[in-house]
Formats: sequence, structure tokens, C-alpha cells
Amino acid sequence: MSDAVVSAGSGPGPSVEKPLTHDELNDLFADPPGLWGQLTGVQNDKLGTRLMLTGFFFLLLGGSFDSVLMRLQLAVPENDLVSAELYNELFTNHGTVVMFLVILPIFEGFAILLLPLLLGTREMPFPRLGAFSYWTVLFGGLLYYSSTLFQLVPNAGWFAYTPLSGPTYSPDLALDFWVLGLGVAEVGAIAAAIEIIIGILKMRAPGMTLSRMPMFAWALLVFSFMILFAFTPLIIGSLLLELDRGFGTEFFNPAQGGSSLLWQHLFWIFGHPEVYIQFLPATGVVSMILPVFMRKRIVGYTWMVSALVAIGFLSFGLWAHHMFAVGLPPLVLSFFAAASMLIAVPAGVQFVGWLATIWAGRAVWKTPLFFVVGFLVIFVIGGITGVMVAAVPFDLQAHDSYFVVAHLHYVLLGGVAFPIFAGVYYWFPKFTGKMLDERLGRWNFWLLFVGVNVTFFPMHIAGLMGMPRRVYTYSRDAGWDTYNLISTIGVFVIVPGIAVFIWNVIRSIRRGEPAGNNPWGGDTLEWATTSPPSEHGWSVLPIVRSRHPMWDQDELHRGDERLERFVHGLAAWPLRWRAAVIVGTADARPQEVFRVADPSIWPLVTACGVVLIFIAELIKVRWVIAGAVLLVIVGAVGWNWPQEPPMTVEEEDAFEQEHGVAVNAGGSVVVATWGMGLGILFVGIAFASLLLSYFYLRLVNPAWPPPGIAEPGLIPPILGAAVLIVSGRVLFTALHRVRAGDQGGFIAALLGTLVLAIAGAGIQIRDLAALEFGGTTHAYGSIFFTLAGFLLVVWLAGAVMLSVALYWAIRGMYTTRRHATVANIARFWTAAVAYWVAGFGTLYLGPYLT
Amino acid sequence: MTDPQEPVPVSDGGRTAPGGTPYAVDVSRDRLARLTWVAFLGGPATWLAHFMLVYLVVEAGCSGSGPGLRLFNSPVPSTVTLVSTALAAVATLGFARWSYRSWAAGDGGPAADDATELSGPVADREHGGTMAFAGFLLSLFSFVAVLFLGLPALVLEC
Repeated sequence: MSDAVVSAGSGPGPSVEKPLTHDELNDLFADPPGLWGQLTGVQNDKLGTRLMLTGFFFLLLGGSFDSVLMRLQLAVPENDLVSAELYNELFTNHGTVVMFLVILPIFEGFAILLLPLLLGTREMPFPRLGAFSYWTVLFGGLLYYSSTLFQLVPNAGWFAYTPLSGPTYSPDLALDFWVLGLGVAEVGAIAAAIEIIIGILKMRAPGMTLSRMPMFAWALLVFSFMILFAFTPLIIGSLLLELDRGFGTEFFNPAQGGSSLLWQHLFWIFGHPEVYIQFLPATGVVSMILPVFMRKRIVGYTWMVSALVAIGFLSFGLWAHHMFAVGLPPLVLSFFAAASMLIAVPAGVQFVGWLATIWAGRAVWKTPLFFVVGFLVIFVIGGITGVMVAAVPFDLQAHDSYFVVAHLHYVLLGGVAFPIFAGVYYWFPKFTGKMLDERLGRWNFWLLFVGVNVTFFPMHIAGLMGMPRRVYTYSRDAGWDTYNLISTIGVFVIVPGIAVFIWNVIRSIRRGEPAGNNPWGGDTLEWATTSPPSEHGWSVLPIVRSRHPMWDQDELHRGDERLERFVHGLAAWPLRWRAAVIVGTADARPQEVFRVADPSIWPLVTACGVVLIFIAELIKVRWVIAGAVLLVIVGAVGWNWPQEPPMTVEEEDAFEQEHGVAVNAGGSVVVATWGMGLGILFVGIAFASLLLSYFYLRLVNPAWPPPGIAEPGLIPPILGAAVLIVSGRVLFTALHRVRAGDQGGFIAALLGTLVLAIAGAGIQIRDLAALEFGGTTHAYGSIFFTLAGFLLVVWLAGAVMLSVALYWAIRGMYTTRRHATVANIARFWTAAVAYWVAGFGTLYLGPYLT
Repeated sequence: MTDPQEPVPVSDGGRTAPGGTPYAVDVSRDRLARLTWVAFLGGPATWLAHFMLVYLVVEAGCSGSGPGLRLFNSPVPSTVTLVSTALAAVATLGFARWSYRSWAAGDGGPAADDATELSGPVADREHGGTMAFAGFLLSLFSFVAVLFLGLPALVLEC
């Protein structure tokens, strides 16, 4: 127990206790020093900061440089500063970088950096997954950007519509850089999303129920689920596009049964939620900052949470409003128009909540508040023009005009960039211990506010006058020159605004005014810790009894007596390993104490394997792919290599007996189960995307299978699926055996599962090899072999897990008490068999459904 | 947090087995959490399911040319849209009623989200509270959204 306690406090609000074990805990959670520490590091502050800096680095490359050049080109009519080809590359790069490589890493960085402090926990649930996520985002971005070194910059727009992006019209490797580079970064985005979801749902301070969670955590929760559901279809779309480009499949070739609209569907199922993926965390930042600077609790917390969730759902029913002009049936148009207009309702609810908070509060005018008010002004204009383009007749007029450019920049700059600046000004003192300069902050704000409006407002008018998007120049007679010149002048107000920000950051890090723990009088938990915080954030976990603990609680570690004993007990124990706490999802009662993963080189190795797969495909040296897949498998196995639990079962039990909370020093059962659950969901979304692609292609083909291809035989797939179903049953027998302590029966059943798995897949592969058509003859063959290949990859993942589990079972690793890995593999295998049955069922029975 | 001596209900995530020996795989059982989420997300999930259903049926009936799609010819798209709209509207109202009753069944004391409540149990009550009210709001909004989406089928066939 931490009897000897010193206050670590300065600034308003309660302070944290600093027990004598503080330094010991700090060392436990710190990464190793030096270069090795940089490569193996998993500490959340480090990863979060890196993600944000990487996003900002790509912003300077793609967001700023490209836009300045484009605006210079358009400043006057018939300008020849850049060629049409270079202009195509500039707008493609600008959109791509900002949508994939800037805002997403910045907000995921915010999340990984902030959440442990904000939620009152010591780490994120999967620190190694966080590291993997960072490396893949970085490598993906660099792979994409390396196209400039080879003069192969993608030029088909950030949406890469087929057939322009297909092999016929983009035969060189430029589009492959786009597909493959971004593919790597998308993997990283999904990995971070899984980490954030579990972090928010399962790793909060005792007492921080869902209804006491800060708005930013709610926003990040919805954001992360949206990433999972939106990015996965894009990965599948990218896979199909690369197969068309590199392997000769026919997904997007209408002459061979494909459909170019299929790409648009897959892209925009990602693309529109992506806008809200960027917007929602920004609203979370606003909802954190406004109450602090208005000295007023947020008005309508429950309504705001509901609005976030409603936006999350509705955003998945909007994608075809990007396709109003492609000839969809009128009833379909009405569905998407209705959903597009409806989303203004929850956005409006949030707006009313913010305005009411301002109305009821008393403003403290500091830079973060300036940016929030700037956000409100600019975003509302972008929101209103958004409702305008949701109306089909208006959209048919404004489609692909500068009106849409104005709309989206008002939304993304006002709705996203301003809150990011507000968030940096707000939280910078916490993580550096220095205040950003207020005077420079005002310059920063006003230059950006004026610059953004001067640049983008005239685009509304130019668009309504008929100026189309993505043109590298325009005629003198068009009458658009004045508006374009004003827009270009506006960019030269924005650029010094960003320069002032960079200077402010550099200057303040070197000689900024020291920040106390809580320089703004903030209400949430992060302001209780020191600035900068220790590596582990919390020695004694806080006990939360209010939504605004820093305002409402006199002490942060007071509460139910048993809970108090628990948090103090954990501050003094175990001190040999990195202990963190899992809580009940809804009630935030401590549920498990577990060992958080420590620094490791394997996430970097795995990320290298992933990027190598994509590079090998890019340069078409395909034998390297096999080696890279092996590297991924080796990396993943090393990453999850079991470690001897640093505590005996008796020691675990002693703590549980005293505090009533289960201990798993070998690694968490709960977060592993959740991680596997979300992994299964990810595979399921990918599978659903392929199934939808199958049915879409079937929908547009008058004959299925096409003439000349017979319906496939049913016996082999039924036999193969039956054997796999039996293998799933045998795996559950293995699980029962290990629970019963029967090691012999357990190993035999595990071995039986593996043998049956190989037999079932073997039957299916033999049948696939004997089919009379291939993957390149028609879209039918393309989707047939792609879906079958996907199911075999899922099977392979399960088979690798089973093999590793069998190895460890023979080594005696699993016991009655510690066998969570086997249970998780059983879950995955059950899902894999279910996907197998549904997938091959569709492929083989589909042709008979006529 | 439970007393070690007290029998632990299976559905509680607090501990894993009577006597304090964790069965690793059972820790995550958390019935309360599941129910909370169902009531909270039921409305919008119904909206999304309804949306996907009517979109796919209308796409199949109005723009599809594949074999067997005669089944979806007019007036099937508009009929399916209207019938499923009615069913989804009833379902969202059902979720609204469930959430409202959960919220109203609270003990009348300060809600768990009331910032002034500093004493009392750490956990949310089983009934009531922010999540239930948010579920109520979301369900009502989903009801409006379902109708807004489906009613054009009264005048459009395809």
C-alpha cells in the first residue's frame, strides 16, 4: 500500500497520489533507450506522437505543396505554369494524401497518445499492435510517395475510377503505387482502430461508466468502428483492382462481364464514411474544449452521444450520393438522398448542443477557443452546402463543379483542420510541459480563418458559374478569372498561417512558458497528471464518480472502500510486470488485472513482411511474395510467442482473494477475446464485401455462368465442407479436454483437427484445380477464384494458428487454467468454417439459382 | 467488485469461478453490457438493416439483368420497400419503448450521469441512465429515418 504519498499536483482540481513505487512503475512502462528502443518501442505516448508527426509530415508534402502549385496554375486563365499531366498528378496526390495519410494518422495518434490518460488507465490494450500500426502507416505512406522518385505519380484522382485506373488506360505502375502503398496504410489504420475500440470499451478507470466517458472517447469509439467497417471494403476493392491490373482478371471490364460501377460502389462505401471518420473525432475535440473554455458543462451530453452514434450509422447509407449522375434507379436515388439529408439532423443536434453551451457559459478567450469558434462558423457553411448537394436535382447541376470543391474544403478545413489545431493548442502543454505562445496562436488562427474563407468561398460562385473540377486551366472568356485569382491570394494567407504554427511549436518546445498540471482548468482526468506525464500515466488508478472528475471530485482516489484498497493495492503490486486493469464494458467495475505486452521487434518485422508483399507485387517479382508471407507468419508467431507468466497461480489467487479481481499475469483473457472477436469481424466484413461483389456481378450479367461454362459439380465442395465442419467439432472436443485436465486427449483432438482441416481443404483445392475455367476468362471466373482464394487464405491463417497451438500443446504450455489461446483459436476456426460454408455455398449453388 | 465469499453469478464479469480460480475463457461474460448495447443500438441497427434490404431489392429489381431476377420485377421493389418500412418502423418503435421503459424504471434517484452525484455505487444502475435515454433518442430518430427512406415507394415504382 502506498502509505507514503506525496501530491504531484499543481493547478486547479484534485491531484494524483504519487506513491513510492512511482519511479519503479515508470521504468517498467518505459521503452528501452537508444535506437533499439526506437525500433522496438510500444509506449503509447511515443506511438501517438509519431503518428501525429507522420500525419503532419505528409500534410506538408501533399496538402500544402500541391495545393499551392495548383492554385498558382489556376490564378490566371490559360496559364502554362504546369502541364495538364502534372496537374492531374497534383490533384490526385493532394486528395489521396490528405484523405489517407494525414487526418487519419493524426486522429489515431491523438487517440493512442491521449486515451490512457483521459480514461485513467496505464496503457493501450495491445501496445505491439499500436507499434505495428505505426510502422505500416509509415511504410505505406513512403511506398506511395516513392512513386515520385520514379516519375510514376498516380494521376487518376484520389478515387481512381475504373476504367481510367484499369490496365488499359493506366498501363504503367503509377496506379499500382496508389493501390499498393495505400493498401499497406489501410492495414495500419484498421490495426489501430481495433486497438482503440478495445482500449475504450475495456480499459477505463474504475467507475468510469459509459455515461461518464468523455465525449472525445465516444467520438473515437464510433470513429474506430467506422474505420473497421469502411476501410475493409476498400481493401477488397483495391485487391480486385490490383488483380485486374496485375493478373488479368475482369472485375471492372464490362466487355467480359465486369462492371466499372462495382469499383465506384466499393470505393464510396469507404469514401463517404471516410468523411465522417475524419469529422467525428474533430467534433469530439470540440466537445472537450468548449466546456473548459466556457466554464460550463456540455449541454445535452446524452443527445450528443446519440448524435455521434446516429452519424456513424447513417454515414453508411450515403455512399451512392457520389453516384447520382451514373444512372441509378429513381427509387435508389431517393434512398440515398433521404439518408444524405437525414444526417444533417444529428449534425444539427451537435451544433445546437455547442451553441447552447456557449450561450450558457462565460468565454475564456484562448487560442483553442478561437479555433473552435472558427470551426463552428466555417463548418456550418460546409454543412449547409452538403444538404444542398444531397438534393438530386441540385447535385446533377453542381456535380463535378467547383461548388463541390468549395463544399468539401469547408467541411474538411473548417470541420476537421480547425479542431485539430484547437486540440494541439489544448493538449500540447500536457505532453510537453510547455505552453504554446498565445500571441502567435492568434496570428495562427486569424491567418487561417481569413485564408480559408478567401480561398474557398469564391469557389462556390465559380462552381455555380459552371467551372468544372480537375481542369488544369480555363478560357479567358469563361468569366471565372477574378474568383480564381482571389482563391489563389487566399492560399498565400493560409501558408504563413501554417508557418506561424510550426514556428510556435518549435519556439514553445525550446522556451515556452512552463505549464502546470492543469493550465486551462480542465475537467477530465488527463489534467490530474503531471505535464509531461510519466510513462505509465497512473500509479494509483483514479476512481471516477463524475463525468467531470476534475471539477466535481475533491479526491481522485476516493470511493467504495474495496475499490480504494484495489487501486492502492495495484500501485504497490506486482512491480515485476506491467499490470493494467480491464473493466466491465458498461459498469466499469474492475474485472481483470493483466500483463500488457512489452517492447518487441516483432511488430516491425511483421510490418516489414506486409510491406514486402506489396512491394513484390508492385515490381512483379512474385516469388518474393511467398517469402514475405513467411516473414509475416514468423513475425506474428514471434510477436505472440508465449512468455513464462511472471507470477505463480498461487500469487495470482492471493491477490484475487484479497481484492476480488481476477489476475492473469500470462496475458489478458478479456482483451485477447475481444481482439479475436474484432479480428473475426474484420474478416467477416471483407468476406461480406466479396459476397456483395459476387451478387453485384451476377446482377449485371444476363447469363451466370456465361455461355460455354458449365455449372460446377456439387459433391466435392459438400464433402470438403463436411470434413471442415467435423474439424470444428473436434476442436471443441480439444477445448473440453484441456479444461478437464486431459493433456493426452487434448493433444490428440488438436492433431485430429489439423488433419481434418488439411483433408477438407485438400478436397476443395483438388476440385478447384480441375475446373474448366480460370480466373481470367470472364468476371464469373474472376470472382469465383478470388472468393475461393480469400477463403483459402482465411483457412491458412487458421491452420497456422492450429499448428502453433499444437506445438505449444506438446510443450505443455496449456493448462486447465491457462488455455485462453486455444479458446480464441476455436472461435476463429468456427468463424472460418462458417465463412467457408457460406462462401463455397454461394460459389457452387449460385449458378443454379436461376 | 464482489465479496470473495459470496457466490458469483455466472453472468457477472467480476470473477471467473466460485472459489476464486479463474477459468480463463469465462471472464468476459457480461450480460448487463450486452443488454445495454442491444437497447442502445437496436434502433439504428434496424435502420441500417432496412436500408440495405430495400437498396439491394430495388437494385435487383430495377437495374439487374441477371438470371432469375424476374422474381424482383415491378411491383416487387416498391412493395418490399413499403412492407419492410412498416415492419422496421414497428421495430424501431419497439426499441424506443424498451429503452424508454428502461430509462423510466430507474429508481428515481439522481441518474448515474448526473455530475452532482458523488456518492453511492460506482456502477451504473441496471435500469435507467444515459445509455437507456440515448437508446430511446436513437430509436425515435431511426423511426423517422425509416419512414423518410421508405415512403417515396408510395409514388415511385422503381
